[in-house]
Amino acid sequence: MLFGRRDSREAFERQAEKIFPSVVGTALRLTRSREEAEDLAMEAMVRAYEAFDRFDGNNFKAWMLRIVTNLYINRYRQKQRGPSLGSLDEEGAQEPVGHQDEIPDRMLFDNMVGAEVERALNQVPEDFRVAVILSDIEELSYQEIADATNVPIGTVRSRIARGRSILRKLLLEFAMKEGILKSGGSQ
Amino acid sequence: MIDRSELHALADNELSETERQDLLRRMSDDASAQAELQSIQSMKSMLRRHEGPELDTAELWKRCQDRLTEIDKTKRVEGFVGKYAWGICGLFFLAIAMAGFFNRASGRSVRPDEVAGYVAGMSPISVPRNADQTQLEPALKEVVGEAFRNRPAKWLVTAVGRNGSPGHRCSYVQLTDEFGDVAVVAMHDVAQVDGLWQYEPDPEFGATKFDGVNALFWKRREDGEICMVVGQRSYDELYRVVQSICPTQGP
Repeated sequence: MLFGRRDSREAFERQAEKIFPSVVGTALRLTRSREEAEDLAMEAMVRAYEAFDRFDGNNFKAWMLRIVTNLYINRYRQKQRGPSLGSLDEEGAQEPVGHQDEIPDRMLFDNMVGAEVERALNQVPEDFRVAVILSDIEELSYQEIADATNVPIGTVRSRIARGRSILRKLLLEFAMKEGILKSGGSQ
Repeated sequence: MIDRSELHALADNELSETERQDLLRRMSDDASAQAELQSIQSMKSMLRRHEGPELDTAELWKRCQDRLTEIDKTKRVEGFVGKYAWGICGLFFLAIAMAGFFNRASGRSVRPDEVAGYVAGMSPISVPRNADQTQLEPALKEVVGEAFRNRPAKWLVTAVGRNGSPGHRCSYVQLTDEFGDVAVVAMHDVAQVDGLWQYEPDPEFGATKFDGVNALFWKRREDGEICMVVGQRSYDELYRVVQSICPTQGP
């Protein structure tokens, strides 16, 4: 039993150490506070360690991020500032593609630097932000995001679409304000 | 009409092959949808490259490891207690039982209010007034011990009793004179009575009261057993009773 636990600890640490920066990064993007992010990451690690014998062995990172997200939703979200705007992401609400001229040139994204992206990302309403972070930064599948956030996969799909649209709009506004992009969507 | 979320799902490779083919077919003559897809892919690519705020996770990782070590320690203790709970309880029970047995088997300290328990279990037998008192002297000797020298003529033995319960063994003799009764009790399993105050004329004696009745205690010299004399008399009178039946007792 003692050796079993020691082996389990080593196996857990081996996997956890690799994805720990991702865990902390996600926690920081969720909480937007370094102190709370550290607490969240630490608590998630403890929860994960205690539940490690129930891990199915498939995707440790997805499993860890699911714990982080669930913990954040259950514990930290209540004291977060600002509304989550969850009602905007009705499953199945269709959003038609805009006119070609309205779509910003892909060069816009190439010119964005980390701080600008991070600032814009922080302004995206929470439910959409979580979906975008898990999908585009942590590269989880829709199913894994649905598991992590406890919502149907259709909701994940619409949240990602809506989140990216909001993010793009924010980046566009910033680019126009800074003169990176002129009105009309071309550089 | 092409829904935006379909394009996002396509960019995320989350469509089935049929859905993907269908969407690509519908997009083939829709320049806006194609531009939108390209824009989504560019943004995805940007976010993937995006490294986020710089974090030093090494120190936090070390703290996590320390926390896990603490958890392991707690679990080890809990595991041990959980696994051997019955054994530990059994050991405690055994220790309590052994302590009780030892306490009963060997001399022990009692409080004055416990002394009543020693006497309560006895049923003294009354001695007829016309009984031969010399034949009763062994009973008195058993109570007073080797120090017993004689039974003063003024005292009559009017009752004797014995309690043989382990831990509560005692002998009892009731003496009577013209002023009334006094009881002399030897408690064979008791080595000390706590909470007595010292009888000043003789430091070998301790005194207390039971329901307003005076009692004097002393220790037998030969075996250290505790004896007691109790009656409706002053302490000095009780002391003189002891002196009269065992004059060698005392300092």
